[in-house]
Amino acid sequence: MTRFVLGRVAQMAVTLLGASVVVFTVLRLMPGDPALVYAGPFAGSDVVEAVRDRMGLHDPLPVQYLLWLKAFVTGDLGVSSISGLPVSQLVGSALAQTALLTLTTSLLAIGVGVPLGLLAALRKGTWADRLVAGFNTVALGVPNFWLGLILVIVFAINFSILPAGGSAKLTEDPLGALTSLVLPTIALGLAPAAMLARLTRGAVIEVMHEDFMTMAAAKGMSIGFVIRRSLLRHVFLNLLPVLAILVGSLLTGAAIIESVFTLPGAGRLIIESTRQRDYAVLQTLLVIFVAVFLLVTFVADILYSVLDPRVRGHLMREGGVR
Amino acid sequence: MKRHLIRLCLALAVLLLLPACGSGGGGGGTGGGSEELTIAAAEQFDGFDSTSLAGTNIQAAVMRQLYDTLVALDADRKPQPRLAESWEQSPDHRTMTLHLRPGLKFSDGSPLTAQDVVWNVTHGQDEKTAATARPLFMAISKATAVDPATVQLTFPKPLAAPFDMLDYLFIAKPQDDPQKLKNSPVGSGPFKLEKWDAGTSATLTPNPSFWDAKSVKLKRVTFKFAGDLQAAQLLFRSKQADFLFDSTWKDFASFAKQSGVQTLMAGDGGRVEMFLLNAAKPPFDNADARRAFAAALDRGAITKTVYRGQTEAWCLPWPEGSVGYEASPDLARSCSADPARSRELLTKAGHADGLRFSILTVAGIDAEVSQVAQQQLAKAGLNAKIDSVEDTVFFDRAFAGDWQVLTSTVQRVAHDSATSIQLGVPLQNGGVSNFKSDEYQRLIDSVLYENPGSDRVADMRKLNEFLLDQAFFVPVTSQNPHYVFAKDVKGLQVTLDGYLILQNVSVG
Repeated sequence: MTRFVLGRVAQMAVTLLGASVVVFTVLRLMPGDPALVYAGPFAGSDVVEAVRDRMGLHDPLPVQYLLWLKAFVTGDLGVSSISGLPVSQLVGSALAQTALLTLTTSLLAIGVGVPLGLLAALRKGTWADRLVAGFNTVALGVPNFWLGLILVIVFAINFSILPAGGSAKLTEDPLGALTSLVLPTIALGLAPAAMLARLTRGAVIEVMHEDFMTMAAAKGMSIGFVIRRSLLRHVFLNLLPVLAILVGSLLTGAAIIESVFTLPGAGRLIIESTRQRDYAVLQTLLVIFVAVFLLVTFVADILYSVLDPRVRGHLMREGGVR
Repeated sequence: MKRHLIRLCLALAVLLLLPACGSGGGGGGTGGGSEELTIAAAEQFDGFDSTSLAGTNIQAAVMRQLYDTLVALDADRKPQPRLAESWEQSPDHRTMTLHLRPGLKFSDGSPLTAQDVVWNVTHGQDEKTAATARPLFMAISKATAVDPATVQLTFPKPLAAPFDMLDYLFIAKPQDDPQKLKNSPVGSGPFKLEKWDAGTSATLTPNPSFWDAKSVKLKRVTFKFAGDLQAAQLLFRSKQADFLFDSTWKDFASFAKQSGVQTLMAGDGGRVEMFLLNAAKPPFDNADARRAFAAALDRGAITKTVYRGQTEAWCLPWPEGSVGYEASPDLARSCSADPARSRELLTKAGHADGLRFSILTVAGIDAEVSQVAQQQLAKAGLNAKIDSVEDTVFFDRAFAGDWQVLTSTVQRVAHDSATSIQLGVPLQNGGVSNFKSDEYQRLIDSVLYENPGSDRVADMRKLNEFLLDQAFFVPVTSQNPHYVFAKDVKGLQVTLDGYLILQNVSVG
């Protein structure tokens, strides 16, 4: 197991390094001079040169990359070329906001999607199943930004019971921060909830037809006992890879919702930094996103091997487990 | 498992419903009572560097709150005392001596002296500072602190409008670290920066050391950055903000009809919508082709369609009251479209069969203006292809000269017209349009400096006629800053460029 973990960590490090080269190169290939973004298109060439010099854009690209990489691995993320603020401060605050939104959205998706999927599977063919199917169709069909706008118009403008957007920090104003997350969580979470409901329903129906379930029923075990002891574990195994992808996609997919609800998250920071060609902020954010994706899939793999003896056995046969 | 599921659902419900029972969204902006103002803005600050006016519009709006100037121009373009309580000019107008108010302090409580003013002048002149108003500051050959309360400025040539430059000289506390100047500002204005969450909000509170601190009524000003116009409007409509800094012209026209809000369109000449023709590239290196372009434009139709009739057509980029306008009131606003004349000029330029070219623009109002103009130009045989690109690409191509015609705005032409030419690169001789002529430079110099025995208004009229004749810079209309705010916001003033002065504002 240790060898497997170490192997995966080394693989992740190489992938991350490769990703950093790709990110750096792609950003520099993008049209748009950050010095002109700062100075304006009609600035004199002396002014633009002075800004370029200040931003370190005169160095050759490999030198710029190595300087950035060296600083990055030592924890020095530099400063934003536009605002002059430390990148660590900008990125840290934005990631915290997006992580919170991802957490509440994941809770909503799992909390609503899994029970609905269970209900639909256990009541297959009944009105409850059809109702859940109807919910799934609507939730998956409605674009989240449109739903977000409707929620704002109804709950923020018409009834004035929830804010249209928010910037409160959890540490400073917990109630304000949670309040500002309610509408974006619903807008962002309904589609994943529907997706999980569908997957859960399918997984439960599949597991219900397994021999061990028939055996449990033949032994006279209660349905609640069977669900708790066997069914959920198997369903969870089926859903685990999907959940990993879901969390990753929520992290990156929050950008539009953050814009609709003026949430100062990582998605909005990426949009703003791209617009301003703020290389230092963009590079850091994108590399962190890649790292998070890698980490989430890594954790999912580990969990999978811990929960499923067949996978563990496969790893042992491959010589990966010690 | 069932019990766990129920607990999970309950926890989620609490998370979703509890906040709804709390303060909610309504009144977030005005909830603080009559002493707090919340401004919703689509864009954010790029920092608070006192010399940087080229960023977002909101950037320029915050300058007068954080920094004061020695002198400020009033609505009649007359200098009014600010940090300097009095001044005198030498008989030859080559020296100006300014006397600071006694006991001036920066927002951190440290004394503000003549030496600090000198530092701000030399800092603004330094090429590395990249100050937006550097062309104006370069008109000063020497800045001297005569004593702690007296500053002397020397000019190599007597400026016709020296106070314009002083109106842009924001006095910041000298700091060696440029990053600190940018994000930890210590200013001299009515407010100080209390908190800045880049990309989220900025909070200003009154500067207790401000020389006129008693006049400041607001206890807190919060700028909320929404990221786009629609999100900013949602903040305003949901009453999370009392003030909407940006709105589309369509929305502004709609707000102007509503009784529940106030609207203000201010600062004629703060921004001027324009077409710029590249005089270094065919076909507009030919003056007749440029004249044909200008003659084909129906500016009135553009303002009616795109600006919803909120602004008027401009033929010269000067607002009423400026020397540029007063020199040629008959020419400034009357330039109706003349497709027949345009065709004649086109034939004269050697394009009797018509002309094909592209208009470089960005999405939004500039693209809308281009689209309306495209149809008008086509009637005269000027067939334009609209090249709508992303902002950054526009910047690159504009700077590199990779364009034939572009649509954009020139900013800050509300001051003295000669100063505006010097500051506004699109109007400069040899500026971004690549138009260069000794005659143009001679005309600029004739109005920029005091020339004994010459009639400045007559010279300005000649310059206006030259601008209209050469048509490398084709103004369309004044794209004034326009604000929407709650009924209970009172005492709002604006600068000559239309930017906010919050010193005397109260809410309630």
